[in-house]
Amino acid sequence: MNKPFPSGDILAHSPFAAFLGVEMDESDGAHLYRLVERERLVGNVQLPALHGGAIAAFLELCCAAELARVAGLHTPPRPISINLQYIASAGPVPTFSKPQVRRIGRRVAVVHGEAWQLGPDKPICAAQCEFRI
Amino acid sequence: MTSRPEMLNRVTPWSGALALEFLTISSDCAVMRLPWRDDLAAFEDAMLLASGAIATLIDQACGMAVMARFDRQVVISTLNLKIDHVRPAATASSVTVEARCYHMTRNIAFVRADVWDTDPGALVAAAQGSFAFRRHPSP
Repeated sequence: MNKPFPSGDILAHSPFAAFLGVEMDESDGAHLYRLVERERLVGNVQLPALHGGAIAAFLELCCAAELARVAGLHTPPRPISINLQYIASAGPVPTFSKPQVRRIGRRVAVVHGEAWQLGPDKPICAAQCEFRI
Repeated sequence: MTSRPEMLNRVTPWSGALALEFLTISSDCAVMRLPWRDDLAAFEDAMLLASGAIATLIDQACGMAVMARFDRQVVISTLNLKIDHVRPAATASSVTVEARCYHMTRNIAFVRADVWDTDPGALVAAAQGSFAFRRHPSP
């Protein structure tokens, strides 16, 4: 199945993460994930607004990456469920998230993530994810 | 977005980037396909479609199922979407989604979606969501 990878290094080993354009900044011990601004992420060219699916993919990926980092996983966590609430329309600008691992059980982990653009106090989408670990 | 399926990937860049395909559309239902591609793999050496790519397929098909209810353009925004990843898709397999808009109020549409790889009876993912819509502003 999946080859082990250095813990917290999910993004570097995910072709889809590269295609989507997810990066991680590590500064002052905090981990900030960024969805790079790209024309291909747009879902509505008239507004314009990012595609809801691109935002969902970003949040799920950074929740998985943060979980792997915090829990020291060497294989990718497998998503069980993801619940997305879209709070505001997202423009074609960089999007950020700082997911929080809420619980690491023996088999299941729970991670929450919010995505924002203008500031963490103006979320555009929130995700609640459960992963099998 | 537009109610004309053939225009989808032109006016919706992210659907075009994933090369989403239209299979059928009826009065309340849209069937779409996400073709396998190496750069959509979740992880190196694992020929599994990334769940984020499947999320895009689901969100798009749900929107199209809402559009199918109208004979004119509407602007649709996702309010909430819950996706259960029932099991991993088969290795290097494309997946198909069937999204059905099962109820609508004046401004809100409710949609369910099923995703499978080879057998429509053996689901890879199941989803449910609510969507807000409004008439397209006149030009």
